[in-house]
Parts: sequence; C-alpha cells; structure tokens
Amino acid sequence: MDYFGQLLANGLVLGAIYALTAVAFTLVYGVVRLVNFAFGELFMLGAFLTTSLMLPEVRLFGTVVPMPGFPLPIAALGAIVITGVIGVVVDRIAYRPLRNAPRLAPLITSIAVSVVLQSLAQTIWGAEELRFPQFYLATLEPVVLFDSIYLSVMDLVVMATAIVAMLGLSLFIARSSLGRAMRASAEDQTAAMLVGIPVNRVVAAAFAIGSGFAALAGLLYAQTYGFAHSSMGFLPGLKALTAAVLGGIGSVPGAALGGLILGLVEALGAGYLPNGTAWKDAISFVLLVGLLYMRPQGLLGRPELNSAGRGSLLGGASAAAGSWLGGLFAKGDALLARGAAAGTPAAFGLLAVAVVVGLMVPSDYWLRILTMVVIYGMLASGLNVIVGFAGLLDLGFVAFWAVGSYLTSILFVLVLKDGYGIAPQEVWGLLYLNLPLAGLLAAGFAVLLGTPTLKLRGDYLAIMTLGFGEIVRVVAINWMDLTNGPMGIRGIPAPNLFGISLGSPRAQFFFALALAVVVVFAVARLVRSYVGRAWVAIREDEEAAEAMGVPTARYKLYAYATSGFVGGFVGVFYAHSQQYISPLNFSLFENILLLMLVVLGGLGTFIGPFVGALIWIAFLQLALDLPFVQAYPETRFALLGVVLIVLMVFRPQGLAASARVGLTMPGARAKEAA
Amino acid sequence: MAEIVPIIHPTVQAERPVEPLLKVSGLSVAYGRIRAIDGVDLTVEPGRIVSLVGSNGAGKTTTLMALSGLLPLAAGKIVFAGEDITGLAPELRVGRGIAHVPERRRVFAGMSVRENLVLGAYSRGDAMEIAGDIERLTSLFPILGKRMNQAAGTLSGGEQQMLAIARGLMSRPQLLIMDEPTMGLAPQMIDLILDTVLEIRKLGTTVLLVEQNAVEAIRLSDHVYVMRLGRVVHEDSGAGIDPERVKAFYMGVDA
Amino acid sequence: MTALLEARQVIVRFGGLEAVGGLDMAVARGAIHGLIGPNGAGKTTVLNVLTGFIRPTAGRLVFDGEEIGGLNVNGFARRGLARTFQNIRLFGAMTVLESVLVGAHQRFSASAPALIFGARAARAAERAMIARAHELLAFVGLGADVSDRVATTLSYGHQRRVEIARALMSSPKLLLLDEPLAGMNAVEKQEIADLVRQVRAQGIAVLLIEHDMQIVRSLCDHLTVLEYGKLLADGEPEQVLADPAVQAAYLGRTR
Repeated sequence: MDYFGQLLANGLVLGAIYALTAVAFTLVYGVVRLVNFAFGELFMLGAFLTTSLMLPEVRLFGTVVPMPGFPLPIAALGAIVITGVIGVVVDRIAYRPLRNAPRLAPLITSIAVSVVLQSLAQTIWGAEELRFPQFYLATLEPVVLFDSIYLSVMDLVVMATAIVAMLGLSLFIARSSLGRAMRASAEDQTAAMLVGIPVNRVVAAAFAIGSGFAALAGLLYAQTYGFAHSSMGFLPGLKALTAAVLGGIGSVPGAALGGLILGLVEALGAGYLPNGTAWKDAISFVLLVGLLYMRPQGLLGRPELNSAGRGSLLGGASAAAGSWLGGLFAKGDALLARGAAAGTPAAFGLLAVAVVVGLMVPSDYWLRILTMVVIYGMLASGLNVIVGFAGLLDLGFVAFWAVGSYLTSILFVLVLKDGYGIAPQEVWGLLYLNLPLAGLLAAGFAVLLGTPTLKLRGDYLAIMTLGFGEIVRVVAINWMDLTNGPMGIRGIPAPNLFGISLGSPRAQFFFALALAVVVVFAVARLVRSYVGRAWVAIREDEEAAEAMGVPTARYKLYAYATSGFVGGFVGVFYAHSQQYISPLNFSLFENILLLMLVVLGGLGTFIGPFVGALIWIAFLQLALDLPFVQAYPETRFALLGVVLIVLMVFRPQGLAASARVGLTMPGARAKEAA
Repeated sequence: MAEIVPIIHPTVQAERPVEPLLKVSGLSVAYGRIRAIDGVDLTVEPGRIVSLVGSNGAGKTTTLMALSGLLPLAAGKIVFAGEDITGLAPELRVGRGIAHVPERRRVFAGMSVRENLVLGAYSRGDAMEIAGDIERLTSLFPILGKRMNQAAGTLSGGEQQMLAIARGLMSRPQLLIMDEPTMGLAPQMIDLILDTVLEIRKLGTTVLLVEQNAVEAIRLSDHVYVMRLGRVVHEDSGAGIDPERVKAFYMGVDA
Repeated sequence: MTALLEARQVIVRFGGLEAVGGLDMAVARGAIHGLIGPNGAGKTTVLNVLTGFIRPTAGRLVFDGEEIGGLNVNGFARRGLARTFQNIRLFGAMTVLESVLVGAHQRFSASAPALIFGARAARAAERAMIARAHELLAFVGLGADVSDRVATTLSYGHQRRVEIARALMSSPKLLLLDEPLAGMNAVEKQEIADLVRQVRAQGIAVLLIEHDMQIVRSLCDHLTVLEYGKLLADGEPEQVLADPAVQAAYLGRTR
C-alpha cells in the first residue's frame, strides 16, 4: 500500500475535523471578537452525547442508565442540537454580561467554562474512555483509489459530511436572512442595530451554530478514533483554534483552508519527519507561530482584527457589577485599599503573619500545602508582571518556569550525578548559583520569545504565546537526551545549606517564604519606578504611552524579561522542592491556572497573586470535605470554574483589585509629606 | 416664539394643527460626567424637513443617536407617532418607523449593494415586496442600480452615502434621520444629496437632518433648530431664521 | 529665523482616499498656531502626521532643523513634540501624579539593579521629577489635593489640564493640542486659553485644533485653514476669518 496515499487520507480526515471545529471559533470570533476556548469541550460533549445516544445503556454518575440506542445519524443530530443549546446557554450566562467588560474577562471566562464542562463530563461519564459503538458502515470494505489509497467508508463519510456541512454553512451565511444579519453584525454592530438587526439574538445564533459544528467535529473524531473521553477536546480544540488563526480568524473559507493545511501537515510530518509522530504537535504550533509572525491576519483574514489593543485591561465594567454581590465586595475594598496605602508596613505585617503560621502549623501535610501556595504565588507574581502590569496576555509563561526547573535538574542529576558521579551534597552551593543563573537564562529566553510578538495585540498575542508554550512542552517531552522525555527527571536533591538538608516541610516553607520576599521586593522596586509607570501606561493606552516618549517595544521586552527571570528563578526552587519534574508539570493547563490565580486575586497588585494562590489551594483541600465532592472529586474543578465565572461576571477586576499599587518610589515621596 | 410658517409645503399648512410625528422633551445624555446634551426639546411634524444646525461639538449627533436608542438617556422623553419609545431597544425603533442614516455612512463594506439594501428591510415582515422597493429606490438613485452586485466598500463616498440613505428608506420609515449626509463629499455630489432630501419629503417621508452646510440646511428646511453647547439656543422656520445670527454662532462673532 | 516645524508637500492616502493632499505649513517659534477647517477636512490627520502617528505617503517634516519623518512615535516625543488627544487619553488606573510622571519618561535612566537596590542617583532623579510634576500641576491650575487621585475620576476640565501637564513634563519645544476646548463651558474655555498663553510665555510654541472661532480669533497668532485635506488659507486670524472662501467652507455655499 502506498505510504504517501495513506498519509494523505489520514491528513484529509484529520483536516476535515479540524476545519469543522475551526469554523466554530471563526464564526463566534467574527461576530463578537471572542476566542471561545470552550469549543474544545463542546467538541468533547458532542462525542459523548452521540456515543451515549447510540448505546443501549451507559454508566452515568456511576450508575447504569438505559439509553435509546439510536443509529449514528439520529444520535448525531440529537447531540448536535443539545450541544447547540448548551452553547447558547453558556453565551447567555457567561459571556453576554461581559460584552463591555475589560477585554481579558471574557477570555478568562471562556477558559473557566472549559474547566467546568470538562470536569462535569468527567463527573458524569467517569474518567475512563467510552468506546464508540461500531456503526454498520464501518464494517464495509475500504474503497481503493488510484490502486494505492485505502479509504474506509467511514473516512469517506467524515470527509463528505465535513464538505456538506461547510458548503451548507457557506450557503446559509451567503444567502439566508440570518446569515446576512450575521455578516452585518460582524462588520458593524451599530449599523446592524440601526437597520433593525437584534444583535444579541444573532450572537446567540452564532453560538448555536458554532457549538453544533464543534459537536459534529467531536462525534466524527470519536467515530474515527473509536472513543470519547473527557479530555479529548483539549488538544483538537487548540489545533482548531490554530487552524482558524492560520486561515484568518473570522473567515469561514479560511477556517476550512487552515484545518485542511493543519491536518495534512500533521499527517505528512508524522509520516516523513524523523520521529515525526512525537513531534507532530510541535509542527502545528511552529506553523502557527511562524505565520503569526509573518502575516498576523492569517491567510484569508483581514488585518484590522489585530487591534484589540486599545481599551483598558482593567477598566470598563461588567453589566452585572451593580448588584448586591458588588456591594459586598465594596466593604472588603476599603480594608484592602487602606492596607495597600500602608505599603511597606502592611507587607511586613503579612510577612510576620506568614512566619507565625509557618511556626505554628503542626502538620507536615498543611506545611506542604502552604509551600505550594507560596510557590504558586511567586509564579503568579512573575506572570503578573507581564499580564497585570504591562497588559500583555501571555499563555506561554510556563516555558520560563520549565527553563529554571530543567536547568537545575539537568545540572544536578543528569550532568553531575549521572555524568560525573558527583553527589549533590558536595555541590550544594550550586543551587544558590542556579537561582540567578536560571533567572537570567529564562529572561533571555523570554526576550527571544517576546520579540516576534511585539507587533501582535490582544487575542493574537495570547494565541502566539500559547503556541510558544506548547512548543516548549513538546520539546521537553521529546528531546530525550536533554530532558529524559516524558519519564522526567528523578532524584533532584532537596535544598541544602552548608551540608544541612532543608528537606523538611517546615524548612522548605521558610525557604520558599525567603524567596518570595526576594521576588516581591525586586518586582515591587521595579514597578514602583519609571519602569512600572511605563508598563502600566502601555497597558492602559499603548499609543498614548508612545506619544509620551516611552519606547513601548523595549519596555514590553523588559516586562517579558522580568517575568521570565521570576519564572526561571522560582523554577529552580520548584524542582528541588518537588525532587521530581516531568513535562506534565509545565502544561498549558498550569499556565491557565496561574493566569486564573492572578485574575482571581487581582491583576496588577502585589498581593493578588498570593491571594489567588491561597484561595485556590485552600479550596482544593477544603472542597475534599464536601460530601458531594468526596463522591465526585472532579467536581472540585467545576466548582472553581463556577467561582471564577461568577467572579468575572460580578467583579471582573479580581478580589484584591483595590489593593492598588503605587507607582512612585516610596522614599522619593517621604520628604514631600514632611 | 415665532409663528412657524412652512414655506414649501402648503398642504401641511392646510391640515394644521397636526399631531407631531416626533416629540422630544428634556432630552439629556451624559458621557461619564460630561453632559453632552442637556434638556433638548424638539418637535417634528409629519411631512417636513427639520434641521439641527450648530458648530462642531454642539451635540447634534448625540441628539440623533439618543433618538435612535444608541445612547442611554440621562433624562428626557421621546414620543414617536403618539407612542412613548423612550426605553425601546434601537433595533425595535426601526420597526416603529424610525430609520437612522448614521454619520460617516457606515454601509456594510464587505457586502454587495443589493445585500445592504435587503438588510435595510430587515425589520419588515413583507419579504415579497422587497424586490419592488429596491426597484423603486434605484429610480431615485440610478447609480446604485448599476452597482447592485458590487461590494459597498468599493463605491465612492457619494455613492456610499446614497446607499446609506437608500438602505434607511428600505425600512419604509415614517421618519428618516440623516446625520451629516454631505460630509467629505465633492460639491457636485453635495448638490445631488441635498436634492435627494427634497425628493424624500415628496415621497411622504419626514426628515430630521443634521448638516454641516448650514446655509443649505436652512434653505431646504421647514424648521430649524440651532444648537450650541448641548442646548437648543434658537429655533425658527427655515425662512424665518436669520443667517447672520447662525453665522455668529459658527464664526464666533458676537451677534 | 527659521520655522520651528515645517511640513513640505505632505500627502496622506488611506487606500484610494487622499486625506491630505500636498500640504505645506510652518509653525513659527513661540507662536500659537491654530489649525482649523470644517469637519472631515483632515485636521486630526495632519496633527497625527506631525506627531508621528501617521507616516505620510509622501512629503518631508523638518523640526528644529532636523529631518524627523522617519522616526517612530516616541522619537517625535523625544525630539520635543508633545501632544494631547481629541478624546482625552489619560492612563486609566494611574493617579494624576503618576500619569504626569510618564511624560518625563525620557528623563529617567536608572538601571534595573539601581532601582532594585535603591541607588542614591535613582532616588534623586525620582525626587526631582516628582517636584517638577507638582510644579507643572500647579502651573496648569490643579491643586496639590488632586495629585493622588486616579486621573480618570477627575472632572472633564481637570482631566484636560492633567493631559496638558503630562505633555509639558517632557519639556517640549512644541505642544500640539487636539481640540483642547471641546466640551467646555465659556468660563473653562477662557481658562484653558489663558493657560495656552502662559505656555507660550515659557517659550513653548503651541499648535491647536479648535472649532470655537471666538477663541481662535483672540488666541491664535496664525491660522492654517484646511478643506478637503488641502490648504484653503493661511495667515493672520482676522484676515483669514474674513476670507469669503473660509466662511463658505464653514457655513456652506449657496447653490
């Protein structure tokens, strides 16, 4: 059988599935300028719903429930309709109140919706794969084309369905009244309202159709690969977003083209490149990053979409802000504002509290948890520099963290111990050298990754940095010689000072606390100077900042470098604290989690990242005591997602937002007060 | 207040007193802390051309946007055809008979001329009559007939303005609101657009006009409101208004 | 004496549209220069060209004897051209003092380690600039009590003043104001006009776009009038405003 022909067939099937999902992203982005990350999860729901409707019985919440056992076409239709309705409900609850909110809010909300849907699916259908029942067409003999390409009947069905669906949608958008209204709303919402188009309903329709397309893609994927699983939507969702951006987000033919290109490149790359299967995910993201650098608007897109830049990251209000919940927050705000105004004394007070807690807490278990709070708080502080202060949405921050962790782990374990047989205790001091070294390395890396993103704004920037983060992760998995690949690196020594091991949970907590003091102090000094003022000015209004003489490109790179330094610095300690690292520690999910912590706590504050980390990690533990959560542990994530959505809708600026950071040197103003 | 004497439309005069088509009282709009317009009262009687004139920043466009529901009101009441429409969503006002041709035209640039026109009729239930209306509008704007399948963004400024007006008329409005229809157009095109305004009234549609060419606006209007700093400072019939006084408002000479 | 800023044969095209067509203008040292013209004449486009926001399709810009056409925006600012915006653009979350300090960005040079370890020189620079910011806030007529308020919560008039203080913080040679009086009442307008005169008294030239001809007449030393992106008139205010062509551009021509 012809190898190329087979790869081509695989690529076409995969491309068809990517294209259908890409349409969902493109349709919604076109109308409301929202990257709805949750389409990956709607894709997954489509697969689960179809599979469930086709089976005679399914285990839901651990109990066997009889199901109708429909044939594929009917089950598929049912799944598409149900998913479409879910999409509309999600829009109504989670996105519509945020139409005029700060521009990060809907993006974060869509990530939270993803988390909720995924953990709900895991709660309902369980953590196991659900086998896709065989449809009778799948048992037929494959079709042979040109004597060499074997296509199963179902592969043909997948391609035909995709083509029919795309043509149908194109026709619908071109000819129907609703399709025209969609295009009009995408071009100019105000003008659309003036001719009498109910824009909210048009948006709901875009969500319904987009969700239906995602569901269709998901069920075709489940059929092709034979299973449904709660995490199955994540990577195809990202790929589809990549495809949409590749083709030019907002353009339906672009989505089709992007999906097709991506499917083919992946299939052919996997087949022909050395060790290609392992690298195929990286191929897609390299393609994405390269294209965004050279042609940000995508192949068929319009350039003006790369301009979500203006408008405050934090300003603007949610439609729901004035409610009773808003009033509740106001009370806490006064306290926070007073604390922030106190500045250094307040910081010392908090540090004293942390020290007392570290001395008093009796259980090792809770000390470990508190150490994680401090580590995540520090990492979130690093991310906060770039996102919270400079206003650049970075989804590739974990890469800097990984650089630090891997640097120290490789030196200690792979080079010194395995290579030269030197015991870690003999070179304990290297850890203290590695901290700044990793910081500098990661900072350099950050500048390298930051440079091509300088032209990009808003959502495009987020997508490009996401691509970088994924590339780094795939490299970490596959560059076996350097990183030990997916097995990770074991036996990283615990921190050590003059031969005394600091491995005990209490010692580690205080070590972490000491590093946190360094990180917060250094970041605070930078922020409370002309550098921080330049960052915030860029965040609030890049053009105006430039007009005031701020070289914005250079200051964006400074923000990347600072953020990278913190990531690398903390990464070193993280590796020694965990004593084991693997690429799984540095996934996109971790990056999203860190972003959520910063947003939860309050972007652009010093305390916010730690507040976010404390709430999240304490929540994870405390939720385990709830009976419902004990029965279904996965619902913890769903609950966090719900908390985040509620927070975004009612208080998009974050819990500790009023702990406003002063941007002048504390000492410089002391004299003036006297 | 001066007696309002319509000079061009004797029929309207004969039917007086007429129920006003649009009655606006105490209209106020604030952008943040700034009151962009403050207590504007307007009355538009059916079958007339009414103009708002005044220098830049006087609040003319803000007034129009408030009338079509694009801006929330700080205070005031809008009664249209005997019905209070103050809180009505903008897309629903089109169905009641108000069409707004916005400043800078805002045609759907990526869509064809025909599609723009069809969209203009979005609020109407009678899909069957749309083709006939497009036919009729192309006799008013022959150039659009020749450009029917061309993307609106490729039209010249004047052609785009005609399209924007035609799109507004497609909803079969009782009141056509036009905001700066001649802005940025060449003199010949300005003449053509202003002639069209008179044509539209002949067809029975009432016009509320904001026009930078104050001399012409006054000449073709039945009634003129002069705005300054967010308030109506003067009103009169088109013939009754003193051009010197308007000039004073524009050129900053105390009258 | 040569002009401070000279634009020669500046052309700006957006797609097929010519927004500025071969403009020549010169701003003299120490002058208050008004840039006026009807809506859509291209005034803001010209201001954007003169501050580097728009790179002209063709033409030269010479500032203080130096060719500046190829610089990016912050380069314009660093050479001594500071501006304000038509719709005030203060930095959302910053206090008045912090916003104004951003204007002095180019005067700071401390390295990251110097900032982190609190070097004496870095502190001294910060103190000096804070003192200067307070001086300028007083100069634009803002009391010490506003310096720690978030700038965007101030009244509109005060925000304008903060924006002017921010622009002056860079010690510019030319201050460009895009409609600094828009949305103000008569008293506030006079106050800002007085402020502009005081700026000139410091030896800083001012270029401003304004619609209120009464103010323009009394404030400006020189006027440049634009229409359709081209120079319509240029000269002393009284003479320019009496020009029938200028009056027609504002009020419209009779047909």
